[in-house]
Amino acid sequence: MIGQPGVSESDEDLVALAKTGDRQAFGELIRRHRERVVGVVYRMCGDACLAEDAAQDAFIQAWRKLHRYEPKAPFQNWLYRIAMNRALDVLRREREGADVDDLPLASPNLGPEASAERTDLGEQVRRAVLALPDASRAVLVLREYEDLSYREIAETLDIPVGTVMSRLNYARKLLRTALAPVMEDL
Amino acid sequence: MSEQHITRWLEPYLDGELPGMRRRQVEAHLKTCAACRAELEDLRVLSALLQAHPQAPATLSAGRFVAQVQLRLPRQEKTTLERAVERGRWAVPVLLLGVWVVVLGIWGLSGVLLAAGEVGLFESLGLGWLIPTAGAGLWPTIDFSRGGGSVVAELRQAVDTLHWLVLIPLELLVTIGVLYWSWLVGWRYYQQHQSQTNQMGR
Ligand SMILES: [Zn+2]
Repeated sequence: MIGQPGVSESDEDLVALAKTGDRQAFGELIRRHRERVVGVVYRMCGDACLAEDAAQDAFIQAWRKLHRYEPKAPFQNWLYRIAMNRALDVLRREREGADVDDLPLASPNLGPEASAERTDLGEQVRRAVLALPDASRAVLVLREYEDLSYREIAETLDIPVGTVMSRLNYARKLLRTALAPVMEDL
Repeated sequence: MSEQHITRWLEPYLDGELPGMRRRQVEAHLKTCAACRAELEDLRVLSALLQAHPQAPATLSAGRFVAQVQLRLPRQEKTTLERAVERGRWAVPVLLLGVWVVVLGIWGLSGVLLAAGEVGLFESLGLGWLIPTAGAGLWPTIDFSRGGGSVVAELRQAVDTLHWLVLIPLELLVTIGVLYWSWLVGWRYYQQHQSQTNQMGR
């Protein structure tokens, strides 16, 4: 039978194995991309627990749809697309089920540490990013956190490169306004 | 400051998306323009701020994450080919059986009609128009009244008759049978192959 898939194999090799139903190979793919997928989803929906669940869902969906993946684009970017869609689903569900005070903007835990956390720099950035429109945030996350090129972002989100640029510009404009007090101190 | 500001190129410049020519233009302008330098610096600060915050939270360990996902992995969606093969599993033999029944039926019927024509049944029933005419029907008709001459001709006619009435249906039957069994064997092989790859994946 086959050996344990190792670090030497490329993503494409592992995908080919996984397409034949090889769960070990897919496990290795999860191991490689977990952190970044969780990161993308976390930055999209701003909640660590939700992000972990959504990232798991994204991998499961990727496994189901694996036969549709064509190795034209990097596997990672294909995963990002699925992860983005999962994150947007999670956000939609959250917003539909949530009260006005309970939007994802609010920190999930409301203990005494939470209020202190809210004044902290990371928390301010988190909230500013979350306040962006979803479409702009998606572009920003892929550019600033995942270091994708405009073209890759366009392919991942299925939008024209011009739209990538305008959304990115809009996101940065909003963030510079929202974070102006913080940025002055830096 | 002779040139216009290059504000709209600053972001693509920062993102490393400008082609050489344009990049050199932007760099030349930045050397002379404090306003655009300040703008670029602002973008850099924002970028650094974003990349430092918020840190993605450390949650499950990699091992536990992978294990949890693997536990939840369902069967993979089948490819269109696989789905077609699975549907064809029933469609192909049924189709072949259908063809076989139709062929035998038509052959039998035409045999009966021919025989009936021979004994003059149609004329006696006033159905003379039903008499198959040579070359006009769907199936080649056999002229039973032909010959009557030499033994060789008699023999040839007998062989002809045998050929049309028995051999062709038999050949068809064998062909259909072979197709049917090779389909079954192919299907069996496909299933074994499938269950093997599934086990390997476990
Ligand atoms: Zn300028």
